[in-house]
Amino acid sequence: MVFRNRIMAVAAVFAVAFWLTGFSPSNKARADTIAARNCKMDVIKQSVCIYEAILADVDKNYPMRGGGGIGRIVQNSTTSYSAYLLQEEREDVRIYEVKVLPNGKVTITSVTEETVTH
Amino acid sequence: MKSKLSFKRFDAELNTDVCDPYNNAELTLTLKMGFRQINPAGGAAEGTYHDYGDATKPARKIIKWTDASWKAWKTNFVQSAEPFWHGKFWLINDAGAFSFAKGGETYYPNVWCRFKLIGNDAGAAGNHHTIDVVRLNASEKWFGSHSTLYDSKDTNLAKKRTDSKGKPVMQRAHVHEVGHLLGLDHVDVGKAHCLPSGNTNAAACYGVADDDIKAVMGGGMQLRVENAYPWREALRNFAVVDLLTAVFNNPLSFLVSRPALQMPIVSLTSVWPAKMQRHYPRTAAEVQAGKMITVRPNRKV
Repeated sequence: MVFRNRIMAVAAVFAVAFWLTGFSPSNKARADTIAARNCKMDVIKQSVCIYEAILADVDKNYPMRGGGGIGRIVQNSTTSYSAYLLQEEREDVRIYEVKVLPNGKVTITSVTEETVTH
Repeated sequence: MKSKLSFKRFDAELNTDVCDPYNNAELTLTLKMGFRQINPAGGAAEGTYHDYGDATKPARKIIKWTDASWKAWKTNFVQSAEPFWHGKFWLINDAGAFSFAKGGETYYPNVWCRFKLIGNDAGAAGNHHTIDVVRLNASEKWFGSHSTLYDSKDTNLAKKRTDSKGKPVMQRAHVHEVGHLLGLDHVDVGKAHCLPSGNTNAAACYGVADDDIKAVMGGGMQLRVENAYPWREALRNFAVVDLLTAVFNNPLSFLVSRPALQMPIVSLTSVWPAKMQRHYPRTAAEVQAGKMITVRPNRKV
């Protein structure tokens, strides 16, 4: 009984500590592992990962927050994709070079910008 | 004296009859725009139209123009774009042009830049530009417009981008487009990241620094002194015509006696610096001293 109480007390201390610090030792690793495993799983999952990486980059680094949004993202080659962003008078084109590592992790290796005038 | 010139982009009238010790010469640019309705196919009440008028681009829902909505849109276009560009600049007369005497004093008026926008239907004669216009369905927030294809919401204030602090930069698309029609380029054309030899519609040409982003020829609504360029260029053309007229009317007299021109030859190369505040006509002494008169002076008239 005493032993059981001690275990419960220790568990409670850990639980409170995690709650207070927000620290969860396995969450990030698990997320990475799942994402990597998903990207590695098959070509569809891999494409999804690539498109997600591109979308995240557009969201973070493209400052023209007006206009018509993302018109389309197309694959130019095995490792190259173009995101077309609709604006008045023009489309801004962000051209991505991507690399898929053996562990399934997707990396954007370069972004270049072009403009299509209308 | 009133002089008129017609350019490809607009008509210009220079009026010195209005000059007195308090009032400057007036240079009015008149832009005649012809608008043409784009309606759903087959006379339907509703339909679709593609961004940029390009069938490979996304389609947006459009509705048929009515006489009332068409008239209201054209009126709104003119009544909101014209005041934006009208009467905002004064070109400083350092060339000694348009001099006149009053009360024993010689005055040199500056040039007040006026703008007149006329919205016609496309079929009217004499339009400088013809623009197609779609009427967007209320559910549509955006349509891909360009210089000859507008949508009914282009007169609304809309978010174009954010500045470096994440604050929204707003613009009415039609005032930016009228700037282009007057001959203005995007704000950063000529800078290293937007060379005139490259694509001047590239995103960087709309401004990189916050001040440039907020300019009307960037993504915002702020006028700048360099936006007086169309008036300045029109004025130079009046100077050329004034000179040529004097030469051709009486070449011998021109060579021998050098008749007084309304705009001296130096007007051809004068900077005509622009100001965005009213500057009153100056006396010869004030011009000599480089004095600017921005508060109504007390003149002996």
